[in-house]
Amino acid sequence: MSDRGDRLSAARQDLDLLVGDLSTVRGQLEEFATMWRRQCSARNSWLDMPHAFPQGLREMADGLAGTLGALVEAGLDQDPDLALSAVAQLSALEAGLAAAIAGASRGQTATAVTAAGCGSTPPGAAAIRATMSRVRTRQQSLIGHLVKGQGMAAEQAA
Amino acid sequence: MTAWFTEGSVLRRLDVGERSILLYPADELESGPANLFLRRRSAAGRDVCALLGPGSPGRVRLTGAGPIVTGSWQGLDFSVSFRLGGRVTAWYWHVAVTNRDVDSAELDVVYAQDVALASYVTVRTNEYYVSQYLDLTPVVTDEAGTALAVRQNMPGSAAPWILIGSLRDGAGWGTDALQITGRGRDGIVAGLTRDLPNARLQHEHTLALVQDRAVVLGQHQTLRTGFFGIAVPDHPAATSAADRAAATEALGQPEAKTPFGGHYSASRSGQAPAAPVTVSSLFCPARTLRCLPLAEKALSALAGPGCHHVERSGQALLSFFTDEGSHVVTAAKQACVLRPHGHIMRTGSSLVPDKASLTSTSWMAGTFHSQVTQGHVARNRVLSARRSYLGLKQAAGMRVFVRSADEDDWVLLGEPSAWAVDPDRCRWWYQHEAGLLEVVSTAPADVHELGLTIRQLAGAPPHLLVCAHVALGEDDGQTPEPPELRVTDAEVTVSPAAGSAARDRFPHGSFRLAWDPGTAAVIGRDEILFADGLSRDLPWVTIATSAVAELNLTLTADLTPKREIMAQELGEFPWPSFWPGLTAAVRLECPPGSPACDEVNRLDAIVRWFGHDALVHYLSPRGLEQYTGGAWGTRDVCQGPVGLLVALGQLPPLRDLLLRVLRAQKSDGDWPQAFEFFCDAPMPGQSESHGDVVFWPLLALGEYITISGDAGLLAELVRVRRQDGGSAAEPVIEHVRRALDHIGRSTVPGSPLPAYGNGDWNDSLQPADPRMAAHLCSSWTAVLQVHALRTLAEALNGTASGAPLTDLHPLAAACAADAEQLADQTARALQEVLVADGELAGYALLGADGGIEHLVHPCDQRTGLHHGILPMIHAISADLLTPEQAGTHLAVITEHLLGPDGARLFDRPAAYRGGPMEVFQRAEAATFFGREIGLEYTAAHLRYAEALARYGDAEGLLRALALVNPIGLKERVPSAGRRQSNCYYSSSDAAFGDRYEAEAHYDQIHRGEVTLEGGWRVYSSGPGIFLRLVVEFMLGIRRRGDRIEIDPVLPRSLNGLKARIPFDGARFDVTYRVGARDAGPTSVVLNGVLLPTVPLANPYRAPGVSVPLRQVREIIAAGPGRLDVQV
Repeated sequence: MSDRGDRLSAARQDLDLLVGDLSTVRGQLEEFATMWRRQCSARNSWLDMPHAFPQGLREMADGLAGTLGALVEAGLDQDPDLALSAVAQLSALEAGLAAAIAGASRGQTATAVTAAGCGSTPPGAAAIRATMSRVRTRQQSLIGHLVKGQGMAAEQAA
Repeated sequence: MTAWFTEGSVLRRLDVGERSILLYPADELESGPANLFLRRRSAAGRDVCALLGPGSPGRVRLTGAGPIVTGSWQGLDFSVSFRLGGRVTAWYWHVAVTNRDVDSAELDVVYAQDVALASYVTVRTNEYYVSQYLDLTPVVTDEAGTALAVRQNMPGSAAPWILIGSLRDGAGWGTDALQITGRGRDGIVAGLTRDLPNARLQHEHTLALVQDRAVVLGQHQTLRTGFFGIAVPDHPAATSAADRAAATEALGQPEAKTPFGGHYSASRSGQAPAAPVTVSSLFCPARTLRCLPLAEKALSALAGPGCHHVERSGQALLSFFTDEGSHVVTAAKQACVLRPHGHIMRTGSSLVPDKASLTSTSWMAGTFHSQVTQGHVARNRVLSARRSYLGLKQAAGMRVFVRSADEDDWVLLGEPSAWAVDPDRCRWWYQHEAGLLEVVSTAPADVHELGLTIRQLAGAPPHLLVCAHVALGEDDGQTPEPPELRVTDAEVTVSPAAGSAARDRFPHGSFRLAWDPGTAAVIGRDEILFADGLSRDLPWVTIATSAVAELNLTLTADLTPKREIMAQELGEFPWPSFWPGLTAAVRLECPPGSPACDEVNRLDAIVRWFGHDALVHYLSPRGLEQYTGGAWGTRDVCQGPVGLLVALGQLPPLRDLLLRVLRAQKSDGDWPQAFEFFCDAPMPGQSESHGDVVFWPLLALGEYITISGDAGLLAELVRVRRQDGGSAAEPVIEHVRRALDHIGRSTVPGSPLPAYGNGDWNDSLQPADPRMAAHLCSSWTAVLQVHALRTLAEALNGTASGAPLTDLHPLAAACAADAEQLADQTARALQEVLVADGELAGYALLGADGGIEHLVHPCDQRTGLHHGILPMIHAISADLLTPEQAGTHLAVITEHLLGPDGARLFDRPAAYRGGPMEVFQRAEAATFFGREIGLEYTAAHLRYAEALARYGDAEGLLRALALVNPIGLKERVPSAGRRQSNCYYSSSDAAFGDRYEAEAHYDQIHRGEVTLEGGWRVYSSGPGIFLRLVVEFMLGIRRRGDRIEIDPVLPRSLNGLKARIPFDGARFDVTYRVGARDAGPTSVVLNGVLLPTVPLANPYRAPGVSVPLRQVREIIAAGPGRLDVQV
């Protein structure tokens, strides 16, 4: 297989795994939201969950997956526009997740965290961070395979 | 913990103590949904391989510790082994996969585990119901990614719980098989070509799915992974993050460590294993006949002339009705619906229970007869039931394979090109590349015999293989217990195996499959179903033919002893022929040009089907989803079947029904929740009953006497069961006395209001705290108490001069007086105690200190529910509210309780906290947002329609009736999901993924933003209530003793409406002239004779009138009555 073929093949594999990771994040958000709701209904003083959570973040993850798909569809040596958009979307998703975790943490720290014994971050937060870290690394790799002037996009992705 | 495996290494049972983990146990013929799936991933999708069970490429070696399966697939060598935990209640599947390919392979492994966490008997009673209470919650673990916890929330002594996860890194998950199969219902393997949803769907096929994180394996690299499950017998709290400790515990066990050394793979070791290759069967993996769509003209030619109520999606034809009333459905429609099309058929023409009657459930998806029973529709089983509408198990009931002359493989008849249904037959058309095949199943009224005809209409005749899954035993054919076969050249007689429990139960019982001599070539058991041609002793009868153009089979049974059948008094039906007579007994014809014409035509079309459904509910009490049953619910039978028989004017069967109900009365005067109506000495199905149950038989009895004037019933001797177990015959009025005594003892101390007892009409609202029940009063039960007692008292008072009572008259008068007195006291208390701030509360919690806490009321701080419809509508119907109050309450309903699909029980769902209950039991424990929990319960909506009739809202009444009609529903309710168009739905279920989503976004229902699916079908008192509503309330023709009441409630748009209504063994042909007002006739003319009228009473609107029955009879003695009613 040619180098171009190898790059495209590697990008496709990255995409497949990335989409899987983003789907994992969706699932982790579901867990996070369920635990949050149950804390609220048990009156353990977690702050009320924002109405749009976790749907808004799930939609952001879906949007990013769509952009990454389009990125691979556009092929090799493309202009960095799509890549930059993916980078921006990933940052926004990370920011949204961080805000949600912080929101839950604030409510949680209002009381001594109980049986879960989870320290100052809500359970599930670490797993989301770990998955997002994998997403960031893989997205960098994917962009590196595809984009012309990859230095700039990869730098931004990092 | 115990695990049993089939020879194909899938789980036959997996039990923890008395509870089954499995929802769909596997058998030798077919895997359940539980399996391990190896997936080879690429950008183009996923190739999927089931590693266990028939059709797996593995070889199986069974060891004491569990099976070991080894094999190869797409260049991947795999090995699977099973272990049970030694120190903890846990199980483990270990998987190793080695890439033998030169190219790297991206792959993952998915574990699917169906879950029940209920007793095996409960599971086999109804899998959907068990699923509706399972909470599935993802739990992020420290060691193994995301795991999935399952808690059985069903109220009981314990809340069993399991956690299922990966031994490596769980990256994806799902919760229900519907997420995987979708509506294509192509099976789990096909569904797993897509990734897991990572989202929760709490539905009716619980399937815990965990996907191990994908890896890329280079050549010779090995993935070692696996899955665990750990069980906790009682998990009182909801699943929480703390439960990740269970994963830590499971993963810390020695059995969690990989059992594979260097020689796990047969091909790697180079040694040919002794283990046999897994044997596939015709059902697993099943090849189905690939069908083509039928052209519309061709379909019309097959189905019969006429094309009405046509349903399309874009240009695609979905369904229609023919001139003869057949309902025709295409494959395109079947692919749209959540609940695949089905139909319950019964033989016989009696309007009272018939022990000889055969009942069969047919499914469009190629199950031509199933759950065939004789007499009792759950216990006396001949063929097994199809238990999953997603087709998770295919081998059930009567299935047919075909094989063309030039092929070796049998192909299963599954989804057809089109299907047509009539009350007594179903037709399937399979248009395929090589021709056109028709299958017809029948259940005629005139003979107790089921039919099956397979006919090649075009193309070369195929070989046929008819397979019948015998279920004479207790477990619906699941037990390997081959029946005895006696074969002749024209029939096979099938009897229970000697020494089996079924033989004890049916010592002389059997059933027969018969055919035209010479058409069936080989009669066998299950051996033909397996690839190796060896029997596994499964209870199957198979009939193979050579190439035939037509095969006719009949099924007859004699499970019920002949002497019992001969002893029955069945009476006669009043029509020239049964189904045409019954289904055309009530007809509507719209005035030309009316804006309501479409709606009336649809109403006319559905009445015949609801008549069918009502008859099934009455005489073959089971449904398409509620497929077990067979008993009468006391409350149900006093509403639906009573409604049906009243609407049809069939008083002798109604009398028989009441006597059966009265025979079921308990010695304390109450009735069981449900009872067996076939038995001479009924055994209660559920001896405890809810607080409202005692009133229903009294209400039905009062109504019957009022309608018929048959005071003689009160003197009829009916057996009563004494507390000492004996029995004695007592007149019916003594049964009434006993019931009234029970009612008197069951009030809240110091109050005439009925105590809540074990519950009220809404089965989901039993209090979680028994202490609460003792002080709780249901307003709806209080309303029912007044209504039932007043109806009874009126009936008893009406018999005062009746000769048949003679000696019993003083007792009847005393009963009437007592009933009247308690009813009046209750009516006063209702206003004083249960109405607060102008609104009738759903419940009142009466404190010992005299304090009253109103629940389900705007002031309710406890439940979060502020309005409940049931007491309001019934109070209006029973004239217990003033006109002002009635108007106010209807306004509350309109503002808070009316959805696009009808009236809803409460203004919002009850709280859900993951399973633990605080106020109500099932309402807070159920996880599926449907049925009562989803709040649109059709029977309640119908009672709302009744209240509108009483109040005089004719437009509202017509609209409310239309919402129950599935024909054209999407035009009325755009957010309604496509559904079978010829049957009754007991609920309208908003398609939320789970209770949390429902709670957060409940208002989306009102905005039409969430799909509304049809709920469980057919089995409900609703169809009978509906028919009575149409006849007695909308059309307003009611026989009442020696009078006929004329009290239609019709909008102006129905001026000129014509209706056919059964009356007195004949019929009325009524024409309605509707003027400015919607109700209150001004003249009634019969065959040209103006009848004298007497006004009725109605506090809310212009009342109806009554005319003398004797005069009507005189006028119509010579023929049908042409009745002209001027409103």
